[in-house]
Amino acid sequence: MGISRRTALKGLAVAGSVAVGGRARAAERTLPAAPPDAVGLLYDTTRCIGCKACVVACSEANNLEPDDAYWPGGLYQAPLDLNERTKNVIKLFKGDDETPSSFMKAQCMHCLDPACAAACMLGAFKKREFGIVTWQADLCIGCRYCQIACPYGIPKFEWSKALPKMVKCELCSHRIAQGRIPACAEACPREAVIYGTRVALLAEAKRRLAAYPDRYVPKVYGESEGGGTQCLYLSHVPFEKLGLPTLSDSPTHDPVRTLQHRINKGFFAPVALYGALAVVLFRNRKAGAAERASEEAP
Amino acid sequence: MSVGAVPVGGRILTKPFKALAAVAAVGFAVIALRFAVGLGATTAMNDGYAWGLWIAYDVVTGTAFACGGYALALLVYIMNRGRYHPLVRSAILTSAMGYSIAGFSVMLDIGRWWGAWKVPFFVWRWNPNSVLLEVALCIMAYVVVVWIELSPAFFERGRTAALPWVRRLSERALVILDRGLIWIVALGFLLPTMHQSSLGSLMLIAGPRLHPLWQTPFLPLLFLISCLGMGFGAVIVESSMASRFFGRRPHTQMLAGLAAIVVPILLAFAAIRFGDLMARGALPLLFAFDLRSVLALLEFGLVVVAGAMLVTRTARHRAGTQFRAAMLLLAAGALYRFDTYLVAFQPGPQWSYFPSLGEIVVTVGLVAFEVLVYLVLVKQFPILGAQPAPPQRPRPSGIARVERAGVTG
Amino acid sequence: MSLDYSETLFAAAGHQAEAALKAAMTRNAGKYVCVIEGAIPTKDDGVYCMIGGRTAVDIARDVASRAGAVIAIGSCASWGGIPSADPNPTGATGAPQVLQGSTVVTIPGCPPNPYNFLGVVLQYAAFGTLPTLDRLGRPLFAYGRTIHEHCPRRAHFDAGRFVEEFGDEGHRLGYCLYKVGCKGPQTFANCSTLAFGEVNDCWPIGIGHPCFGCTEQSIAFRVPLHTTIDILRPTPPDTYPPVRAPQGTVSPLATGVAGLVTGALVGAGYAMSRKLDAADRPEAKADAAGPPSREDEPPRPEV
Repeated sequence: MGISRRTALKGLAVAGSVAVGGRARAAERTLPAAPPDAVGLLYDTTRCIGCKACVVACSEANNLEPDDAYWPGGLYQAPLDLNERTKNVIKLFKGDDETPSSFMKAQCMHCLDPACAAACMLGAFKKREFGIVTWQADLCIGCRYCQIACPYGIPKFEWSKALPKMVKCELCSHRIAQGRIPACAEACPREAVIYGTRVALLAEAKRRLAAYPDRYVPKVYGESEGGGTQCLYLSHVPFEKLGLPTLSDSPTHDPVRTLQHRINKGFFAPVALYGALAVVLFRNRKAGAAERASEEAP
Repeated sequence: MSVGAVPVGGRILTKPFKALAAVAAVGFAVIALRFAVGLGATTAMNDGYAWGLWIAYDVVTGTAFACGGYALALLVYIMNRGRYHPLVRSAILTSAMGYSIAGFSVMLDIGRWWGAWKVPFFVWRWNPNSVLLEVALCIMAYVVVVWIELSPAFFERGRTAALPWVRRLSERALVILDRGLIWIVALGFLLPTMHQSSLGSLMLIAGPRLHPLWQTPFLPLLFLISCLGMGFGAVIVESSMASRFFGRRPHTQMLAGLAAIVVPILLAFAAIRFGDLMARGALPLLFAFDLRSVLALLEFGLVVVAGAMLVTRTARHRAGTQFRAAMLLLAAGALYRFDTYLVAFQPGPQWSYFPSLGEIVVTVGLVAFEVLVYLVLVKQFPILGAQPAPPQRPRPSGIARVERAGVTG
Repeated sequence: MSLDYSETLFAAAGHQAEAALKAAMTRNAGKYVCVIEGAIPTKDDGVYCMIGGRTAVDIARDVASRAGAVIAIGSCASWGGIPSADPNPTGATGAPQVLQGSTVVTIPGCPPNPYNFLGVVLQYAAFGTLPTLDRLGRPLFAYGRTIHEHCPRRAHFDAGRFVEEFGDEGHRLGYCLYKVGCKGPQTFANCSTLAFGEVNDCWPIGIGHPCFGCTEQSIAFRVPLHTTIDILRPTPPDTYPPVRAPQGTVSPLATGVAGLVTGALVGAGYAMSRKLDAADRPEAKADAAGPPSREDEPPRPEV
């Protein structure tokens, strides 16, 4: 019994430590690659006048119900935030003596390595054509793990419905399929938000930063944040004030992926552990039977 | 086979049973409402706090409370400490109930529950990066495993049933189980190891949205260690209460053995937790004395006090001390899980959440239901292990002995 | 412009009127404008409106067949109007339904704005063309937008200032009438931008009564006057949400209940442990041991 116990504990320790994982080593990692035909938006706070034409256009293009969240029964299309009826919203950052005010257009960032897609069990949220992150109803069970995962808090859930969906901007992929552009970009009267390939938008953003260095915070938000996004931001106030989180260059869900890969590389560790357990159990049972036999022997 | 296990017997429809049934009924009424009108109307969950009480308690904490079967499987079958065998079957029952209720709670909590069947069957759609997928599959499999592990109790009773086909079926089943249960027991150890640690990994994905006092790559290890401790703690609590309420002699000696095992587990948990905070430079946060820091300190406090209560041998052999320490340790584990899933989660300062009355009612109702089923099964089937031998009577002196004999006759 | 036939304005009557009609139709075949006013009853072969032994249906079809342009003026002629309201005993319908297959310009309204009619006639007279029509035959220059989009009270709607009851303070101040049943959000017409009879505010909202959707077949004489309807094309008001808008409710009742449940658990747990303490004492153990015979009794469950 002594031998089998030692073997058991050794086997357990090895397999267990592999299965459970220790410090995830974040080695130098290259940024996720953008799909070659990746499209997105570039929003420039210095050009936005807060007319909310984009909010209306999005609501119409996506057949959304009016959102009276700001003042229920009082105002009829006044979203408070992105929610189950609103995929695009204009918020106001009220400035003070040091920082000027700014509008902020919030919608899905269409990350290059989306946390929602990493979280989703059956791949309902997935990066599909043109790198647009879309939602597929028949694969979603409404577990809302994507809401836990997204660092920007974008996916919204239809709390008010008995048969709910997940709701978020999908870059009007239904319009793009028809050769048109997202409704918000089309509606904007001052081209504060424009649509294009990520490559072109990034180039344009950098051009503006170089041409007007005094106007902007010297960074294109989304170039590398969380691994990079397809919706980019230029701003004249610090991005944190607009509600955009300060993120490192690696996706927020990287540690999980490392862990899962280590455990599940071909299910090696679980199978190995199971094998070790079976061996131990068999040995113990044999030892137990032998003990009983020796007790019963006269 | 559990030698000496017998059904407890007795009336089922007692007053406590009826009270529990009433509570459970109210819970089920709210559950029906949840399906009729949706989650928004019955719960306080929102887009910021997408997971609430039903995940934090029913699934994450509830399964940890139900780790008695796992902990005892490790002790009895892997480490071959056969003397704890009488405790196994009732621990397995608690595990079976706990995990089944957890699975049911998941069905309540997810929004598009009609598609849940796809999770185990749509293999070609499985996302290997999703920790939640692993948790879901493991828990689904473990629910099956644990009821199979419990099934000998049902078949043993079936051996003496009135209907002959039931008797035949039970005999055959017991033969198969006798040979094959070993493979199931191995699964019954593998699966909880995987999913209890993964319940910790689940919150890794929140990244910076989980407060640094809880966000650590050691989450899976900490969850695994604490669930082992909670498993033993749950066995102590359940066994003590079963003995007390069914008028049986308590397994104090055995529970003392479990209490002894618990101490190093608590120590390991506290050491790793504290060491991790130190290594990540998060210790100043522990002493910031805001709400989160106070709760984290409380976690440590409960662990330390529970461990301290069980340090001496005499203390471990006292039923009252065992029970109190076990309750504290369960509270510590529960608090750690509530903190990780709710308190530590930071979707943004604009979001607020506290479980709604509906959520609380459902949770309490499901716990009541769990107890109900436990009572029925324990009374009808051979689950509770044999009572320990009676304690040695102190030999009274001569005259007292005669007097006693006269009184009792 | 020559008004060659008009049932209501003619000095002539009877056979002379009929002859004038026939002559006008022959003289200007393919060039005249046929204006239809009023609903056309179709039930029972159209007997409910007969002139000179012919049903209105036949007359309409006959005159329209040789017209250069057909205009249906008013809601009655456009889709049936008041006579078509339930139970519609005469089967009253509009001209487009009777003249299936032909292009009928409809100028709905009860009453319609005469300038909408005039605009169509002038275009036809000057250029021989008809203005762009929507799928119901309404000229887009007049019926392309909803009342709501051009309402003079729109600012009140956007600011959340509503009349709650007729005669209240909001009503005196001219607030938005949406909550007392204004059908403006679903009604296509230009009453808000083109005054009737060249008198400003000479329309329902102008005098403080909600629009009743007189141009729309699905609304007028169907949806009750003071029933609120959905907004067809929502547009946002002047407010902006902050970057981090507070959301999420914390119920004091639930908090209290949670506290009670936790307290009960703690209390019960402690009480239970005290009972175990009592059972732990050596005297208690001796009592529990009891005489040997007791060991064979089955345990008595308390639960």
